Amino acid sequence: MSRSLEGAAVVGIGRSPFMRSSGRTTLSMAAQAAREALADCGLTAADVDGFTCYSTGDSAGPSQVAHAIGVDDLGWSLSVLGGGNIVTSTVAGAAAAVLSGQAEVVVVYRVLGSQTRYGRALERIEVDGEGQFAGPHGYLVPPQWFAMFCRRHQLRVRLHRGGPGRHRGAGT
Amino acid sequence: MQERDHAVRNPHAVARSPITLDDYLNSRWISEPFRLFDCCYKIDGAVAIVVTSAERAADLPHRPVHLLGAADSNRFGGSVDQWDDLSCMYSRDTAPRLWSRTGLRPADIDVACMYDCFTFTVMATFEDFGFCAKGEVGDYFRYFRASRATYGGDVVVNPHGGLLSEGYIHGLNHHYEAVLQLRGDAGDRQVRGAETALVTSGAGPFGGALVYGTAAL
Repeated sequence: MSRSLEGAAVVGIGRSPFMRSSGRTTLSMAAQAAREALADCGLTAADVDGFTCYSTGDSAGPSQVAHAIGVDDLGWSLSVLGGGNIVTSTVAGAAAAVLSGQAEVVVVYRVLGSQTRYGRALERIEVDGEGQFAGPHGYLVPPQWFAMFCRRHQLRVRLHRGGPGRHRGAGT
Repeated sequence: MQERDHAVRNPHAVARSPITLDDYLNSRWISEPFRLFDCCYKIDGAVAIVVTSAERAADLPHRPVHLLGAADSNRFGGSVDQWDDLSCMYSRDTAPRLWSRTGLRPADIDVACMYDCFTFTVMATFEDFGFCAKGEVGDYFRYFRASRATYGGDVVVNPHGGLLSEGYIHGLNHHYEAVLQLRGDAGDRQVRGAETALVTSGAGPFGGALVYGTAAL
């Protein structure tokens, strides 16, 4: 059994208000969450030497947010490219930085603004990788991908149990 | 419906009104079999957490929330097309790693903040993490009988109402809720005696999960 994260702890939490179409910048919201998380644990900007976030290219970066709250000597800064898939790696990475002595106090954050990523295409979309083959069929976004997973699961359960033939929605 | 019932006690959630089965069935299709209420809310917002050593945590005001272990798996280059069994997700591979690294098992978990970009993400990963057998998640969450995934059941899933009610901060809000619950600071929605929390993230071919505890292993 590996206990590689033993010795790391979360001591502070903070967040901005959650709302639709706030009109705020990602920098402003991320700085607010970081300030609140530090205030929550009685630490100040002077105590922080590490910053990390994950994003899909839509977020204010670690150095920018650190600077905004007055951290001007950042010893460890890591911006991770990814979404929901990478949250665990990012938090565990912060713990690893602490446990390996690269940083003492690390702020982990994620910020999203409705103007920055999801829900609409503002201009022509370009896709690469396997998306170039799926794109022409309109198979491009997460609800489509995971609808496919859900269909397969429903079919598996139905074949196994002989349930009703007509589905009414994922939640049923 | 269960997550929305939980969100009633969460002032930070963007959607706090309970929904009925009729509301659900009357909501429009987004991508069959996902209806509107199968999808989480896109919102603006930020979450931050502060990580330090357990040693330093001892001098700080709140009871520290310890990281007990984490595991990830990223298969098939993150391809949804190449994934080999669509009835499972990344959690099929993450779960054995996580349980082996922590020495814990599903029955040890008090709170589960399950990544719910869509309802089905919870359903598939809940099975993969071993809370119930494959294909039995519908019985576990069954709404009109006693659900085993809420207060008074085996494990409380998304006491804050999840991304489906609180909104989509890409899952870092699940970590916020786990910490709040393990501190005993969750107010009206506190899971009594919560000592361990599973936090999952991701869907399809890639993701990870982490366990927090009130005490180190």
